Amino acid sequence: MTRALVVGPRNDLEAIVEKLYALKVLHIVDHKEGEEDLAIGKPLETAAEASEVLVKLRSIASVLQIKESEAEGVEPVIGDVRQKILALELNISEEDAAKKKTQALIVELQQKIDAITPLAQLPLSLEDYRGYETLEVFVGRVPHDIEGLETVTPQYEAFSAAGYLAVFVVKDKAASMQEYLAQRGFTVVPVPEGEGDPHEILADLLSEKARWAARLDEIEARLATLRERYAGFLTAAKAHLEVVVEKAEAPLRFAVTDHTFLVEGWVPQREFSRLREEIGGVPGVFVSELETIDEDESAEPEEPPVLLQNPRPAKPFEMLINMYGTPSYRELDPTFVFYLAFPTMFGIMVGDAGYGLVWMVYGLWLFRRWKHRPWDFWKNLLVAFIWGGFWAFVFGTFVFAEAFGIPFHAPHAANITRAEAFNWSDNILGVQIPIQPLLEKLHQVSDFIVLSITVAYLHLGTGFLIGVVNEARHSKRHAAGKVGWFLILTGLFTVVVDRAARWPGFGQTLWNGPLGWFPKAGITMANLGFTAQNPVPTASLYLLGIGVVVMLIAEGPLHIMEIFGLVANLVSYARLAGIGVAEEAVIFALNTIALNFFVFPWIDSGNVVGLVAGLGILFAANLLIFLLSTISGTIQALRLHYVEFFIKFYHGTGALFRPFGVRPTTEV
Amino acid sequence: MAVTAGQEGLVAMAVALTVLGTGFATAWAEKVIGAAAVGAIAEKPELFARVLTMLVIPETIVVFGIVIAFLLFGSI
Repeated sequence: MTRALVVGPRNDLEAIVEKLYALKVLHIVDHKEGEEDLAIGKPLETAAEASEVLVKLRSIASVLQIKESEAEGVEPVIGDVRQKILALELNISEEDAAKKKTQALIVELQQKIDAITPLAQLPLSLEDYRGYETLEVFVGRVPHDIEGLETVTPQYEAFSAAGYLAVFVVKDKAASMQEYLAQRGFTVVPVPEGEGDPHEILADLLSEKARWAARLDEIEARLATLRERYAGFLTAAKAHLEVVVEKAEAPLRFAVTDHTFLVEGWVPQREFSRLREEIGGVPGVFVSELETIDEDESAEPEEPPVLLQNPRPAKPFEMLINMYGTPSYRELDPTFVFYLAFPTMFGIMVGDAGYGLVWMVYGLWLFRRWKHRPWDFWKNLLVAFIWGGFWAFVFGTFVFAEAFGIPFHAPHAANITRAEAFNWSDNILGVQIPIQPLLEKLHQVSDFIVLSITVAYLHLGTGFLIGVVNEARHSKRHAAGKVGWFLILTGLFTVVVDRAARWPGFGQTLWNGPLGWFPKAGITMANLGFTAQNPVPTASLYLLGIGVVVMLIAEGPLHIMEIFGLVANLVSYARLAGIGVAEEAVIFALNTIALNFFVFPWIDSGNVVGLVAGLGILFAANLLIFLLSTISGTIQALRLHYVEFFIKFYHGTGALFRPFGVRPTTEV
Repeated sequence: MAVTAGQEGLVAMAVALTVLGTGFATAWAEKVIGAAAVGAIAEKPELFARVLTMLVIPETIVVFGIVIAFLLFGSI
């Protein structure tokens, strides 16, 4: 990145802003008031008017409930936007006011209706309830008919209707009557003001409410028409005005004197000459290079912004990195490792050729449909899923040899049920698939765990090595610390594999194959399972010892505690096996139900109705597990990166390079 | 550790207790975090990604539980 300074006369300000906006290469550093005794610039004249129109436009958009995502087929902005919007605002604010007024009226009417409804049940007029000198009136709701009022006093009269009761009683006995009623669940209902038959009043109110509701529907229909007609225009106008405002307010980020302006900002090194040619070409404007910072230089005190550059397939994964934090200028960008490791872990967890294929096909189809969609959160995520689907297909085919929870071949185990033995080669395709499973999820769980720990070693090891490179740029001591950690990790991992190599399986294959070169001689600890055939390798102990010493010297004695954390991190990757086995167990159980109850009866006795139900259940069960494994696969793979992986080396404290003129895409 | 005949039931119960205990602990921890997370997302929706990863951190507990359960299960 190069720090550039543009200086020019204030008369040319507007033209330079336009040019910078079109160039899209300068990441402006905001000037702060009073810095080097320079004031900040004033916005261009167009700013006030444009922002005012923009505010109006936003209020219109919120009244019409226009969402930006609906802006398909955005029309270009033609003519005077301001006039159009002011006219539209007048129209819409009238409708909106009418709508609000009508809504308020309806609420008010509803309250009146609620108040009069109880009294409409009773055969009395409103004026009958008040104006007595010697009588007290109780009107209210009752849970059931109350009897025996005459036991309180004979001087009373009562009117009752379904659930309601009105009692007229002499004043002397009012208190005891009230108590008698209250004990039997009587709750008082207020009598509204006014005169007349409550029944008629209620009918009037209801018809009035219906009239207003019809009116409200009319207004809403008119607003819907307006919305349909202007949605495209409003979205386009909004984008247009936001650009106008951003340009007009740009001088607020500049420094000015009476006759000149200064803009400071960062430009990618290779773009600097273009900036100098285009902007410096204007007479009286100068572009100069203040400093150029290479990636391996430390940049104090001002840190340049970061422009991430990754090969096209890895580009969408930048979003997942930025979600955690943008790499700082001196850090290696971990996107490429993320691009390799994230979908691979997803693939191991899903581990099913069928689900992987579905994600690839569906994902690519959706990707084609979204061709013109901007690169937002969902589109980036979709690409991650397509890669995840690819790896799920690879692992599902070549390692686990199964599709939709049904294995390619019957498992190599004794005493298996008919549903367990159901497989693609013999029962469905009738052709022997020439791929045998390397690892049967349900029968080789410990192998699966060793595989997970191996992934953990490769992943964390990469993290420490990136850490060495990052730290070496400014502190050799911290870099040595990372080397120490890498040695500790290697020592731990070799001990784990050595222990797992005691039984035939993945651990033994790994120990004797890819790790065959590792010195095997060591110390026997039979009570911990390290027998004479697989003693604790002395080389591992040396690695651990040297690693701990280097780490302690470089980082300090307190860090000894973190070794236990590292062991926990290693085991944490066992979730790859955990999720893989759990999903497989659930889909196996659901498949078994469908097979035993519906599919086998069809095979044995030709029950077609059962077959249809069975296929339905199979479909629903697979859809469920497909979605579940996608969700847990994504979240767990993300977690392994954010928690276990990034903590080892990544700070993510950088700021993203955002040149003037590039509008941000919306992210979740 | 050799398991003699007749002790398999005890081991199976130990397996069940391990998964039960760690599962319950994870659920409890996620309940607390989840409640706070929903509150945070309501205030700042852009925190979704960070909160989501924080929410799944306690799942390590149950992963440890599953690993130990399988080790125990292997001795039956």
